[in-house]
Amino acid sequence: MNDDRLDKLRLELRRGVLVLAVLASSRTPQYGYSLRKQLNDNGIEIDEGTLYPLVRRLAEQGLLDSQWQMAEGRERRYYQLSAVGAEVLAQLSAEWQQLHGSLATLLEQQ
Amino acid sequence: MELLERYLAAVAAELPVDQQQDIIRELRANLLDQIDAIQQDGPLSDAQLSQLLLQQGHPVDMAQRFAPSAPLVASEDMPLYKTVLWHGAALLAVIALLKSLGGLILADSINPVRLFLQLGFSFIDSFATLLLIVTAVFYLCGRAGWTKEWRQRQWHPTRLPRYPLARMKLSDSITDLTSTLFLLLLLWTPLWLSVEAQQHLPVRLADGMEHWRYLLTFFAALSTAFALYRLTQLSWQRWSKWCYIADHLVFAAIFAAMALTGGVFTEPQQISDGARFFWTHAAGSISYILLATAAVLVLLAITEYRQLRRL
Repeated sequence: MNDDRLDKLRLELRRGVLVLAVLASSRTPQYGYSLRKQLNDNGIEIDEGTLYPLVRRLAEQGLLDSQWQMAEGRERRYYQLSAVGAEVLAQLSAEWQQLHGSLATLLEQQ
Repeated sequence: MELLERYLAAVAAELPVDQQQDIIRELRANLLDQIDAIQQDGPLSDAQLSQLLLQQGHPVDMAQRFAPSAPLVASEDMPLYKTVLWHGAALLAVIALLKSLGGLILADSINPVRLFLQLGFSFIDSFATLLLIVTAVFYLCGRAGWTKEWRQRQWHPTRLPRYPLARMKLSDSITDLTSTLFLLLLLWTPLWLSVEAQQHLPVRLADGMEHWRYLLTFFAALSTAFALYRLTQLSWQRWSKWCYIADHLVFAAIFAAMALTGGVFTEPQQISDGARFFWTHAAGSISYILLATAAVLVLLAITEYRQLRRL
């Protein structure tokens, strides 16, 4: 399989778990760049063009609360998990654990 | 930093007006954070800033990621949308051809280039209107959720055809609908052709033969309603197949009767050279055309009957 196709498959595989990763990383207040850095530091690479619109969409869905704050002489928009977002995160986490277990079994069979 | 402002302005230009300010404010804050991170290793060069902005992607792509625009026609509706457009285009092409031929009869001399251009522009003009109307209808129905509702209402496992032959093809129903609408258009030229153009049509119904117009209109209207009904169905039932066969046979009988009656059509009130030529040399062909159409309809009815026996 060529690299392009592998990259696309890899992107598809990661896309589904990005929401989970962003919600989990937003338990503490985060602004766009800090969130990206935290994800990268934890091995989840995501480009800005994907992350920033995703964060806004999650905020529009009520899963993240947001507010503008002044920091280091500049304004930044901070995001934090909302009450609804915390519930959704718990449900998605459980779903992920179950999926991970099932997948691990499947992969071990090979 | 001028490059940054130029980039933000380019993104803003692609965003909906009501979201521009908020999205650009946030995008600027995020990009400034990234610039700060680069500047920790030294002053930012134009080349580095360019590279950073290139990484963000084209302003149009960036704007689309923040505020994706909804397609005018949903991908699930595309098959129906394309079918409607294809059949509409075919109908308009025939009408444009008839109009151009009408113009040819009125013309003092024949100019093939002018005829071709008239035909082309007449078709493009009417197709543009059709495209606009059909797209607007699909957009509004899609937004209201009616197209999805229509698909859901149609769909149930028990309504799926038992045999491949029982499958009701959407394209067939739309073809029939287009044909009957075209027949209605031909029958009611007074509603859409100018008086002058009507007077110059190569044929018209003879005096005392108006009942054919009403008879055909009645059955064409029934046929149209039946075609519309079939658009909501997934499979043929025995009764609907019988109706379809009867529909073919009724039209075959009417066309045959018109051909055999004779004198149904007559020459126009204001006869042009083209019409005179037609009435001198080819008037008899009308009966043959009607008989041939009736024969084709009978053959189609026989084909449908064979399918009915296998349902």
